[in-house]
Amino acid sequence: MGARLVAVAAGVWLMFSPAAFNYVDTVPEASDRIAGPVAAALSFVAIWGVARALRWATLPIGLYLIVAPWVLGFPTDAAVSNLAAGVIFVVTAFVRGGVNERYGGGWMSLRDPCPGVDLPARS
Amino acid sequence: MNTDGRGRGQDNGRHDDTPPGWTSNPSIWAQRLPIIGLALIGTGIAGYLGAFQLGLIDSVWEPFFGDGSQTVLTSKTSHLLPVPDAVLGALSYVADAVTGAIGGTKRWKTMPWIVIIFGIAVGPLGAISILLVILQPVLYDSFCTLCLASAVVSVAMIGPAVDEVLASLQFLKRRRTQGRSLWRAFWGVDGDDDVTASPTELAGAGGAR
Repeated sequence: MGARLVAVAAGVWLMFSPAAFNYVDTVPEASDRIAGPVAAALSFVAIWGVARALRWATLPIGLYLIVAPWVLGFPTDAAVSNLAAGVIFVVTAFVRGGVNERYGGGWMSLRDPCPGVDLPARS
Repeated sequence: MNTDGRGRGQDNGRHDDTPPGWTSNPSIWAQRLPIIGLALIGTGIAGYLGAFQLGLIDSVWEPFFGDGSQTVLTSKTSHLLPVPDAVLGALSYVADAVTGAIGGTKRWKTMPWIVIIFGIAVGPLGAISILLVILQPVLYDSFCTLCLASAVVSVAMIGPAVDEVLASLQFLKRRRTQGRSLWRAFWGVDGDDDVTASPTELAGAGGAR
């Protein structure tokens, strides 16, 4: 849960970073204002245990944010903002956090013949 | 009704209608009422914004972003369809509340169809909300406080809603493994019995041994 909240905060920060560092109406602004809300929404949904696997979706977004300032030539303020958020998304993707509930094996169990029920071990 | 001591992944008697392998029943009212409440809040917000778009009220509350709400709510994007987008949003929230409320506490296995429709109503609505939030500043350099609030409400409904969808999908998969009609199970006309105790109930269908 803590890792998700940090990721949500980083995503929301990206939405406001262009105004805070004054790079509105630029490519970095569009980039931040697309990546930010998408990452924040995915991290928010991943707070719930049944959707925790969604946290991995922020990994490619984080990698993009780390690379984008060099490739697209961002001003320093924007680059720092992107790097910080990118590192947060990459790191928090690997932090699963606790899940108190069990969901019959979760979404992957839909590949099992009988989700939620332990079949006798093959012998 | 503790089962046979193997325990793991089984219903430990907490609730008779808990799906096998789950710690709680996703269809109980304690889980569904908060989602219905969020949908009603969303209906109120979107209804207010829609009333502005329809010209029923002259101004819209905007504490942070100047004329941001005005700009966003009268933009081309918001009027792409014959009906303004907030009005459609309000209708979607009503659909969320209605499909969230229909059915009893066993509905994940007695009415998979309504659970699936509920999931479809909640999921894409949240996605569209986020899309609109993205378009606002990128296309119009404006934010809209209540539009953002509506997006937060939409996204907050997804996590608590999808667990019920998962329970229904798992139930349908078990039905298929049992060799029973998926169609009848989907519409809930095949009884609410489920594999709860021993896998031998699978009656020799694929997977059980």
